[in-house]
Amino acid sequence: MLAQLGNFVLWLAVFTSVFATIMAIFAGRTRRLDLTLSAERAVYATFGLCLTAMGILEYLFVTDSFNVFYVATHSSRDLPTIYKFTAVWSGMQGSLLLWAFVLSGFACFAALKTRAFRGPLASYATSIMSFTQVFFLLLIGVHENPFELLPNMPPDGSGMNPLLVHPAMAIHPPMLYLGYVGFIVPYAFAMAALLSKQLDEEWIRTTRRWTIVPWFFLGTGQLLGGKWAYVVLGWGGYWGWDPVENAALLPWLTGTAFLHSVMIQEKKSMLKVWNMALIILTFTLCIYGTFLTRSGVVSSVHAFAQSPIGPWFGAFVALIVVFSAALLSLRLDILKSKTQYESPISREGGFLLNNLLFLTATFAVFWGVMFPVISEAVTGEKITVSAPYFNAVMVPIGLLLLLLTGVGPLLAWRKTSGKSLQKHFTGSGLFGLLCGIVLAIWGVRDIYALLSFVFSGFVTATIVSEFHRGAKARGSSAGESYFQALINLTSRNRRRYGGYIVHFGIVLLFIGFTGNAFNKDSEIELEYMQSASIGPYTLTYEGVSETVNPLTADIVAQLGVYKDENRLGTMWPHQKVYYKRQDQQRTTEVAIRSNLREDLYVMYQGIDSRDGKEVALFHFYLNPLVMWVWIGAWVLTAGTIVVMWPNPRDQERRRRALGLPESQEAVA
Amino acid sequence: MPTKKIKFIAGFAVIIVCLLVLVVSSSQKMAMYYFTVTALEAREVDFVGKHIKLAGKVVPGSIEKTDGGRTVVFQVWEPLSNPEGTFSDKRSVRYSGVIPDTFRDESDVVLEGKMGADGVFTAETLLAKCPSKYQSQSFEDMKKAHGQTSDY
Repeated sequence: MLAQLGNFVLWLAVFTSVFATIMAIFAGRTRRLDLTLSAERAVYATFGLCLTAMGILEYLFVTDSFNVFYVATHSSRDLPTIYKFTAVWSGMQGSLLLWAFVLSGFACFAALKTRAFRGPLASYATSIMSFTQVFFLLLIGVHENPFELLPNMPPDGSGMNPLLVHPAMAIHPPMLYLGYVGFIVPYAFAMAALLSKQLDEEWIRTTRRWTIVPWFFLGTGQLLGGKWAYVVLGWGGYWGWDPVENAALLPWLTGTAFLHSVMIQEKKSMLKVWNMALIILTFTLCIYGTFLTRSGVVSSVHAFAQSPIGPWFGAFVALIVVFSAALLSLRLDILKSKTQYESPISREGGFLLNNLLFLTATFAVFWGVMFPVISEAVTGEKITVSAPYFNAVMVPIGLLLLLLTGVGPLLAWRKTSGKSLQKHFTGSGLFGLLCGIVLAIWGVRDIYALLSFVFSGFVTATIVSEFHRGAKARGSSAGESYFQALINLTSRNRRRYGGYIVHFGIVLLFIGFTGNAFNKDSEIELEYMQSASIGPYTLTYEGVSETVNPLTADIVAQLGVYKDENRLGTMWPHQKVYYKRQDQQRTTEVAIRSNLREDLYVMYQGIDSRDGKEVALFHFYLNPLVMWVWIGAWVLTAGTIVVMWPNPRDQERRRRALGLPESQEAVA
Repeated sequence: MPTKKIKFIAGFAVIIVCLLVLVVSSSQKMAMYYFTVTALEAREVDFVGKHIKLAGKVVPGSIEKTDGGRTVVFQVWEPLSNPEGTFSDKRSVRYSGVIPDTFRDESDVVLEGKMGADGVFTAETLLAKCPSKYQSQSFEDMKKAHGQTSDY
């Protein structure tokens, strides 16, 4: 009964979004208020309906309604309730519905925020978002309907894959979707600017924040995925350059390029065509990523269901590209910029180089992902590239970007004098070099790793000195204490100083990534109470035990960890056997001991006999600096929050620019 | 065109060319041929001893742990796209190393390694995709299983 209602609500949402699309187009053309209002209401209605559909599906999952095919195949009675809740997006149908729901949420929020300046720009943006909504909802309704019923209720569902039962995996897909889908807002406003010929910087001002939000979620989503892979999949790493990972990386790279180059347009009215192209590319890559993971064009280890919707996505990608490119070329003459570059050693030059590197990185990843497809088309033979290729290409590009992270923000607009370069970079440069020399003496020989540490030191020094100089100047002019000045400085210039914090997070990520250069691992066989060493640690095998839980039988190995003869603690790597499942699935649960210096990562692989003696099989990994990846992620989050935090003064400035009355708070 | 602009463009062009050379040359250097079980059958002679990727499905019941559990020997094949639903010839594989949780009968596997002269493929890496119970179970199958019977 509820499922039928869900289905009905879904189709009603198709109807309201078609209605919103048409009304918004006419509203954009005629500027009639009544049409604008009815488009807005249709957007709110679509959101309400998607929310209801999502709510119904959640309810069906939580109440074990196995007469619904999707619930029967993705949940089971014994699943903890919280995971029943998240099992909704563990399959294709539910994730598409989540996608549509997130999209409707963004569209609704955009409609609410643009009420203050209704007009063709907002209307056309609404029509673009609503049209995309129609596409997704039709796809769900026709091909991937989560409310499809079975004639009879099976006694139990077939359950969620145990590998997916993990907190990181519960929030990783929604995070990624917030990222993927969120890029539609800047895209829609860019297209609306082209359609309405309102090509001043208004669309950029409107969407700047909107770009940071999806950018942040896309990045965080990937880091969470990495965390999950590291903790659950048990191969000792967090990033494997798998096509699905790359698919999420691509729009993140172009999105980052966009976030930077958009500043040139704001300040100097340059690069208008380029920015349009970047946002089109970013949104296209978002849809392309979905196409890639769902179509089976490239083989991936991710167990996504392939389904007939692949061609639909392919067609949608083609439609976006053709539509956007045609529209852009029609407006090319209006987008010509008047300003010229003065010097390559300038903020503009830095941003351009940044864009160049990000786009090359995008191309390199795209090339690697599509290499089998391209080679098959050209030579008839399928040839692939894997991690070694990506590392060979992306490490140097990444290092150049890291260096630029330190240099770029300190360059002056238009041109930078030699004197100012000297003043800004002597200290920081020396500090970076000092880091390098110390590490080289200490025994680091890997050239890329050394460069990475030198650059990290340099960038950190530039960021610290920026904060320090700012705070000192403010402190002496405003008579504030150093700490007070530091806080005020940041809160008055959130974009700038928040940006520095984000950059610092990136530095920490790089430090973590660099640890990969020093990874060690070995396969170990231990008899009872026998020991083996890896790096500074010695591990002693202290036996194995088995416990039977309601869902799993756990085979737990015990290892004592020693360093310099001192016992540091105990590790319990284990295997879980889901003995109630038909397929008797096993999962390997690694044990990890983390500190700032390194992770000791241990996997238990079972018992075997050697010449009549029983031995336990282990795989030990020593992964230096991994912790810094997660710390970097938190710093990145903090920085993004600082950037995003609404600034009342900004809002006021904007209202005034738009000729609107001052808000109550400002008057008071 | 002012010389400044020419210099500017030339500088960027040089950087772009360098980066593209890096991308293309690395991809050629590190490329690996990718075969399915049947495709390898046809080209086997040319690729003995060469580093390649091989994709297939694990033959049910073929997984044997030897050498104390760290090494597995198994066979892969692939379903042929014909109405009878038959499978291709089998190919024996030997692999030592970490065995992923997702590796079992009927898993889709992607292997990286070398073909030996004896016809056995020695894999250095093994990636396995779950033979998800639910994904192989189509709506039609479930309707059959839970449709006509009305015991509950």
